[in-house]
Amino acid sequence: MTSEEVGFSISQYADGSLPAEQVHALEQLLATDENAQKLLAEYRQLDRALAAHLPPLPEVNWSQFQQSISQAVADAAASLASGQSVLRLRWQARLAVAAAALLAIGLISIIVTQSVELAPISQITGPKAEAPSGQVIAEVEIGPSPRLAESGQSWEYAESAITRPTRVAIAAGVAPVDRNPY
Amino acid sequence: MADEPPDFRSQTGSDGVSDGWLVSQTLTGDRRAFDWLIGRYQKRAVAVSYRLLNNSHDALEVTQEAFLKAFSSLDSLQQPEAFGGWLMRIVSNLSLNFRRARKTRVQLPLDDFLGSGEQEPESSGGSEWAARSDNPVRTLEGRELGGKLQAALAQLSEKQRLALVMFAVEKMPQKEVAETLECSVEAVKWYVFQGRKKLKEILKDFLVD
Repeated sequence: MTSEEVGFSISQYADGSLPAEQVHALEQLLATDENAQKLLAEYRQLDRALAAHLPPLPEVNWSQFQQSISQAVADAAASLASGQSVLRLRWQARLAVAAAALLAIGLISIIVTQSVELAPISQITGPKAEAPSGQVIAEVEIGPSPRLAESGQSWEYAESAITRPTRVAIAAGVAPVDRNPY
Repeated sequence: MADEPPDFRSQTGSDGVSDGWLVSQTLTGDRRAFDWLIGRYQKRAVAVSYRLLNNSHDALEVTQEAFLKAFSSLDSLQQPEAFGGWLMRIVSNLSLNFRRARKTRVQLPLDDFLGSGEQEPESSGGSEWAARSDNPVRTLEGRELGGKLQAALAQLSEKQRLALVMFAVEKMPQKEVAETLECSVEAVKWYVFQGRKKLKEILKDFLVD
């Protein structure tokens, strides 16, 4: 054993906590080793000094002190209970506010929906334009005339769009010329 | 505390009332069970705090605070049977925090609980015992050694000091010291050994036969 291990064993031996299986070996060492004996004596002397010379515990009226703690605990328990009830109230209040807000939003949305007439929506679908057979050399888009566009009566244009294509792609089988033919 | 202390022994039908049972009763709302725990541990709590603070007023204040803290967080105690160690851990932590912040603390009116020898004004943070001279048996050498012991204890690490104070001075069971320090019993033995070794070195000129 190292000196540190011997010291640790002696420290435990001094306070009676050395495991039983180690006691015999240590006592054999103590019987022959003066340094071990000296260390044990020093530890015991230290314990005696701690017991004898440390300041004594304060003189306390334990019954009164216990009552004081008990009262403080009772106050804390009451405070805790009221705090929890306040928290519960707050939680319920929050829930009530949230429910009221949802109800108000629902009512408002119903009123708004019923009071506003939405414009009819028409979706017109038709055949897809055929892909040009050759390279596109020009594209012509057909739209309302400037006068019609300004009139705002786009329904006339919409009617025409049903029967006429609004976009024509002109394709040719020959290579395009640089100059725009139109 | 108007109610008479309940006869918990008759309820358990055993020789003693376990801490675990008292904790469980407290958690069900029976505060008398916690009063029982206060009665069981208040002296030890004050002793441990006093050994760390060297001031009886501070020790009483910390002890009361520790019980309040224990009560408010009792439901977080994983092992109700280990209430004693858990409480001492609260006491030691609060004491160490208190000592660090002591210079800014205000003295609380706790004189009513102290005996006549404790009621003289104290300088905050100092050793009241060193100023006391009401014990004629105590010699000058003895008081000097007591002061040296306290100073030497203050030089130990917190775990060494706590282990030595709780085990070697206050005679707490090693298991409870281990619960307080949140370590193994072997580690407690090691801290005690290291504390003794260091104290012996510091006090080598004073510990003579």
